[in-house]
Amino acid sequence: MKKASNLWKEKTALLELKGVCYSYPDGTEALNNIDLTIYRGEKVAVIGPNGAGKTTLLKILDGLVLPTKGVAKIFGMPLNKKILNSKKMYNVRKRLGFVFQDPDVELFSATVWDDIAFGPLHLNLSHKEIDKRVEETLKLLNIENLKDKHPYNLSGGEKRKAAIAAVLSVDPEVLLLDEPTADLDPRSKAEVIDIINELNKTGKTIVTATQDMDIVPELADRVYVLNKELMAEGTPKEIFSDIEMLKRNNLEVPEVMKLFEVLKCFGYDYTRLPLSINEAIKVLTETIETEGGHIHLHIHEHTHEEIKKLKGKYNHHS
Amino acid sequence: MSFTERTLYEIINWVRDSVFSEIYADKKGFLQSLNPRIKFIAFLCLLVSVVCVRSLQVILFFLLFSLLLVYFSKIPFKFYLTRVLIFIPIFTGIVAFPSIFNIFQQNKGRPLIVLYNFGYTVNFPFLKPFSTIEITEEGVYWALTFVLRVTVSVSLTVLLILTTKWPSLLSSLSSIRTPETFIFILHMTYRYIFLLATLVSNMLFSRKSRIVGKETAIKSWKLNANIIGALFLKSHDMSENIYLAMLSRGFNGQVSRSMINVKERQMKEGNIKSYLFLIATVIFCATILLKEALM
Ligand SMILES: Nc1ncnc2c1ncn2[C@@H]1O[C@H](COP(=O)(O)OP(=O)(O)OP(=O)(O)O)[C@@H](O)[C@H]1O
Ligand SMILES: [Mg+2]
Repeated sequence: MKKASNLWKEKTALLELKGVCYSYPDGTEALNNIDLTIYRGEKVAVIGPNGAGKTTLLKILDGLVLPTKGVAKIFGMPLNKKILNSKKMYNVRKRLGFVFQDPDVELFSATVWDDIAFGPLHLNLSHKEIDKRVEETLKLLNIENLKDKHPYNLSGGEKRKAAIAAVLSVDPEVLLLDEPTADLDPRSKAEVIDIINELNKTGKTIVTATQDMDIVPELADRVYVLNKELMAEGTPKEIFSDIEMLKRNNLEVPEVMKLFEVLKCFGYDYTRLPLSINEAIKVLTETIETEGGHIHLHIHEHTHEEIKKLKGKYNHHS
Repeated sequence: MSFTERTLYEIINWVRDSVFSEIYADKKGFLQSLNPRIKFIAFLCLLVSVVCVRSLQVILFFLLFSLLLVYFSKIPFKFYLTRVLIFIPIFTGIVAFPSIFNIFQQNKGRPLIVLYNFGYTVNFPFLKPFSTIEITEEGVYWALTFVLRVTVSVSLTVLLILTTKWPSLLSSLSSIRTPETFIFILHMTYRYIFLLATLVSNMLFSRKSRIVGKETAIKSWKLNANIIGALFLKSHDMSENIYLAMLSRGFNGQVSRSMINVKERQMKEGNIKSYLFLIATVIFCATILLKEALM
């Protein structure tokens, strides 16, 4: 763990985009003038509304497509058409893992086992080693019971976990996750978040594209707000403080944060605004410990007024 | 829902239940207990024989044999009869129907029923000159044999698919040296065709729920065209993404054998029962073919 934090301090840039634009062949402009850097060992989230270009951005970061304008550097190597089609690219892609948004795209083999083995197979490992990797990955995601199942017989959440496993078995340095917690039940969601954080602690770099604001504080040290262009960059705290910017981009703040602001209207004066459940627990514990064992909530003269203001602040309809 | 839509929906559901969820492959029946590879070879023998034999009675023998297998493999008869033994003959029957008439035949046959006598020779493009329209004995016999042959072949194939898990089937194909690329394409088709079929059925449903009142034929066809267009876009989009996902996981364009099924866990080494079945099948087919050849 110590090693990981040291690496982060060095701030080695792994993935770098400079002035990147991307238009699809049909003329849809998906990205415009993106400058972005991903450093070794960090956790980054890319948030943005539907059609903001998150998926497109991840595809460029994974070296799957070339920007139509600008430069994309992967592990310090600027990409061009020649490199993209060369053998060199296999070695680069080995170090990058991309979990697609649609698990059906990721699970193309006959069984979950085969899907997880697909990556290791192309690393020229021995059969014994492949076996070992697959079993480990199955265990990590707690899906050993699914190994002989066919992808078309899985539930949405099971598919999602199998897709993540299929990418993790390659053991990439950088993980690009496109909506990793979509259609997961609360428990699986928590599990997946824990796994991702665990991987980050072992030194892996994590980039998550998501619309689920509740997971952002837990999955990111740094956040990019994307809406064709980069709208903002900062820590989750900084990003979630700029409500006007979020609203303009059709985004929200985590529910926990809203709840604590509601509590404030009822007289709870927190020391800092928590963004996730875990932080909320910490904040509550701190207050209770320092304030003699309880939190006092009450309706005072401004409560109704403040609540009304608060509702207006977060309202997307107005 | 119109008849076609209902039929489509029913077919999709049936395929999902019987083929994709593998309920029959999981049953503890006779065919399910055999080694998939040996079973595959036995079925190949049966299929080749069915295609080779000429007489109607002999093909009936094969039909009987396949029904016995259905029984011992715990596949419900009612299900099998309605889905395979009624639908397939109807469809092939439509194809074979014209051939019972003399005007579509190459050689002259014995007339069974004369439908119309022109009294003079008619010359018609693409057809041999004829003076009567009649149903011939040979024509009926040929059509019956054709329908039966197709039915038995299809029913054997369905039986094999219903009682074998997909990965085992793939590795069986691979064990008889089918090109890997072919197996790969076959697998991809199998993997995604159902997904797209489900997509179509969902689109039909959502469309039904949005439309109030009766649809005019033109409007209905316009919507159908939209659905086909959406399907095309969706499959194009998916195929591109699947390729990218493969690339991202280290695929280098080489379809290797191990890629399709690394671990053939369902491939228990050949049990005696499987070999016995194979031998019995070979003897059965050989006797029938020999007998026919000698007759
Ligand atoms: N294959 C394609 N051809 C043409 N346009 C596309 C294609 N894929 C995406 N687009 C368009 O590019 C834009 C960005 O799409 P992208 O998938 O990157 O968005 P996203 O942020 O991932 O959205 P979502 O949250 O819905 O997944 C959208 O306007 C979309 O319509
Ligand atoms: Mg997306």
